[in-house]
Amino acid sequence: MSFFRELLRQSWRIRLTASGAGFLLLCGLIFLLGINYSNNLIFTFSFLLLGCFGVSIWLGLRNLSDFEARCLPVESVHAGQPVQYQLQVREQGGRAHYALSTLNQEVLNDLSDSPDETQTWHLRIDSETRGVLPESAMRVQSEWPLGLLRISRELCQLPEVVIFPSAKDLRAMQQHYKGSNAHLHEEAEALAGLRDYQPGDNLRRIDWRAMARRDQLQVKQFDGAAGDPSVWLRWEDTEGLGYEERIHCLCHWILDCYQRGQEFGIALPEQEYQPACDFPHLQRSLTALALMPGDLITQEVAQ
Amino acid sequence: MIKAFRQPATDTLNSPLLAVGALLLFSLIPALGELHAGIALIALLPFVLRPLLLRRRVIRWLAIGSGLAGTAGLLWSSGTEWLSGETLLSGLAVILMMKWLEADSKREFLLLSYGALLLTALSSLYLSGLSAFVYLVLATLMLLNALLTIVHQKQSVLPRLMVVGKVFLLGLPLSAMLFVTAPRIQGPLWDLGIVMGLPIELVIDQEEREKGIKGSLRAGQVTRLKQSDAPVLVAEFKGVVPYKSRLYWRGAVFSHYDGVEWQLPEGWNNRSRLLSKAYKKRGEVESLLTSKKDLVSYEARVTPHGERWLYALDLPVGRSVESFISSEFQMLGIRKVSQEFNYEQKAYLEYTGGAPMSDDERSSYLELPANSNSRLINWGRQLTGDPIHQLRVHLAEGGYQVTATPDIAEYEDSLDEFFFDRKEGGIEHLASATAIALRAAGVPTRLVSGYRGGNLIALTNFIVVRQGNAHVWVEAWLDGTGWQRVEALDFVSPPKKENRPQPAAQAAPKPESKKQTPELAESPKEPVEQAVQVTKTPEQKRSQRRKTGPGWLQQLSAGLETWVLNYNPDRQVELMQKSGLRKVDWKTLMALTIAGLLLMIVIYSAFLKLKRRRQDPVDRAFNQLNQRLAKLDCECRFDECPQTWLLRLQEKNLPFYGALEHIIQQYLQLRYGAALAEGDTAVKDLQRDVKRLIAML
Repeated sequence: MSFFRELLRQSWRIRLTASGAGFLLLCGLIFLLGINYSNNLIFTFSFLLLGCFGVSIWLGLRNLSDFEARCLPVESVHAGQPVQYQLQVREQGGRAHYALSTLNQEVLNDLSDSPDETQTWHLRIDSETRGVLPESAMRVQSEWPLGLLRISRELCQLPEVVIFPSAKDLRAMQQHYKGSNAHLHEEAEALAGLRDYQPGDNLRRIDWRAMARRDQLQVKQFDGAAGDPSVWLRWEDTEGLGYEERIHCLCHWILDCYQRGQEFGIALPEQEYQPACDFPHLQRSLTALALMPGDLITQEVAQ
Repeated sequence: MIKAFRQPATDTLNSPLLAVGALLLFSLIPALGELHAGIALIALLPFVLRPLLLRRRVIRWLAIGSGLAGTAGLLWSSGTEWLSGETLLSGLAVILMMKWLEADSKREFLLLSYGALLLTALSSLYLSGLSAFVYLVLATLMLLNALLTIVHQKQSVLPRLMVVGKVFLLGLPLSAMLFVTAPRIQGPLWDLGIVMGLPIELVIDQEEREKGIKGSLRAGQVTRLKQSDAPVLVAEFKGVVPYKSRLYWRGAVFSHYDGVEWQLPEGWNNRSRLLSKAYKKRGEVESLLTSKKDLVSYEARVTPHGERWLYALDLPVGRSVESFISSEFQMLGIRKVSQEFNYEQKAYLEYTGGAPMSDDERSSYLELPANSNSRLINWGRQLTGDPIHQLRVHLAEGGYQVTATPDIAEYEDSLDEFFFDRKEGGIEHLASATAIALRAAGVPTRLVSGYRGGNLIALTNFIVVRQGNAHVWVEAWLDGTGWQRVEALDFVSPPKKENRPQPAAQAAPKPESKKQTPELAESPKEPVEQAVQVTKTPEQKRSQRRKTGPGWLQQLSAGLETWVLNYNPDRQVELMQKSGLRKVDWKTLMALTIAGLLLMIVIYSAFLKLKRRRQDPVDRAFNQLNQRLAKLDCECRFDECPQTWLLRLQEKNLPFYGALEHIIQQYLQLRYGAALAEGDTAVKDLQRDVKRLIAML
């Protein structure tokens, strides 16, 4: 029962391909030929073909069973860039698996017959618009062995991914300073403390000694000289552009500030993020832009 | 496909072009000898042309056009019918080969492979026995290879061949199950259509309708009828179907013979005259019988033939609308049969009797042809005692044979020539000679024309009677007994193979032993049944030709004949009944097939699961534990090191952590450490501890 429960959980699907339909049609035709000529050998021939068809179902099911995969954390991308998923796949049945692909016909590597050996698959899904690419089931399919059937099943869940808007340099940045200069930690000289490493941190700031001691990546924080004053990137400053264009423009400004190491705050309709210049702030800001509601006015007009 | 030619030599074996080309060529080989030489040449031409015309599209299309036009021209010039089997085979072969010449996509190659499959089935008809079987097996393997090559081009040769072998071998049990249990339907598809209610007249053309016995019967007439396979009637029996050899479908009854031709009396077609002598009262016919047995009921549909005969089963005793039974026990229509006619009837298969014979009738039934066949008449006059028995003995011992192609001219002494010189002739010669010899011996006789037997539609109660079943037999009058059938054919030698009429061979009345009522089944086999048991199906006939070769080959061939070639509906029913099935019809067999398929699914699924379990016992124990822990949301992710996993669980303060840690240490030792050498004991310890922990959880 557990076997069938597993089949149900993995949501298996078996579909006849055009080639399979042709094959069955032909078997029927040959069967009729056997009837017409009262010829046992032609009957045998049609049954041989049907036997091979039946076995191809079994081999297809077998080819898609006994391996599992897990998706590693996925980085957000800007609209238009491909989302790159990394799947760790483990073979469990001690046999090779052939002709695997995703539902988008993206060819996956064959799995070797080394049991419990983890292999990595890279998947790319194109992102078209900003927003959230929801969590989805990743299905793997195969037409192994004879191409008569397309069998597919759920392999793993692909996590939710935020798709940032694409950046477009549509207008020069408006410099609205906050009043005091920003803390440019990177430029300072006095060590203020350590914090956990986050992707995007400067590798030169990693405290390798702390790493040796605690087996944990930490970066140094300095409390030092004041840098350029922090700027406010405001929704109002993009007035005159279209709704989505304003988002593209703000996205460009955010990335520009981050690359220059300038602290920036962001003021969007009904939400505001205080100035900072670290990677999490960048992520927060871009996510806020990504999740901006659609162009309500345009939508109303369209309706 | 152009690419395939440009690929390096090492990839050539992976080319769909080659695989499909080989399949096409293989599928054509048995039929090559049967095709017109020119067409065979055209069909083979693409194998030469393809490499040459590869890059010249225009020339390639020109070649294809010329090939097709050439084939059509050759077929036309040779006078082959456009709807004949040869045209179909030639057309299919040439079209497929020409398509191969320009094919270059996956879809085209698939199409060609399936076309080749059809060609294989048709070509296999030119082979027989073991060679045909081997041919079809090889064709299946080549098809699998072609499909794999088309669908998975990257795969190298050896692994691909291994997959081909695997698919074939694993498919064999399924194929065998289907072969044994799937309802075995045999016979032309038209027959099935007729059985399902298709009007019979749709099947036959006008010319065929005009054939048949009318007011006279000459030598060779029945033999010519036997060449046709046009259906005459379809009968559905209520209950069991009798032996086909016992089915006599009664038509015209002749009494006057002039030495060349049997003729019906003047005004034989006069309805008033026929009706005045007809048996109209219920039970009137039965009251005239001195003996009767084996009553059967059936419903029949007769094809329109423009005469009154309804070809009821001999001897009809029931009543049916729009028809009557004549004084000669024929069932006749009130009107001539100009459209399909349905009737229900009952009949005694064995009977003797008849109305008392008047002097006039007796003299007409004893009438001998003047100035003809004097030797036969003199021979008949010498018969004393029991002339019928003496005649039977003479026929049985005289080496007489009935042939499909009698070579006796129509003249006054043709029966003499048949009876004394040639001893080989048509069924008309035999029946006429019997009738005249008995008349000469003083036994009144008459000649009855009609049909004998029919084609049983497997697993049904339907019999299709065709012109090929045309027959004539003799009835002799014995005082005190009445009319009784004298079937001379049952006492002559079976026809030589080459002389056997094809439709008769198809309609070989093999007894439906298991479908008989006890009463019918007990009836002794007539000699003709014994004779026709030798007359097997076309496959059997072909297989009988090869009796040479090594012993093992003969044994293999014999096994194949028994279990594959001759596994006909009767054998299937017999096997099923031996296996314990009481009632065997198509529904039962279909149910059995479905049950077999389900059983196969279970077996294959179990095999799938068994294979999954055939993993390392250490891993299995670990996985069992992990599955149980997954329910507590504590499982070890497959990309997680067990040590890290333990550290993660340590923070959760689980009550079973200690036991778990112990097990994981054991596991690590067995997988990666020195415990590898400890063997079974350590594994058993681990399995025991896992079981205990799972029980605790």
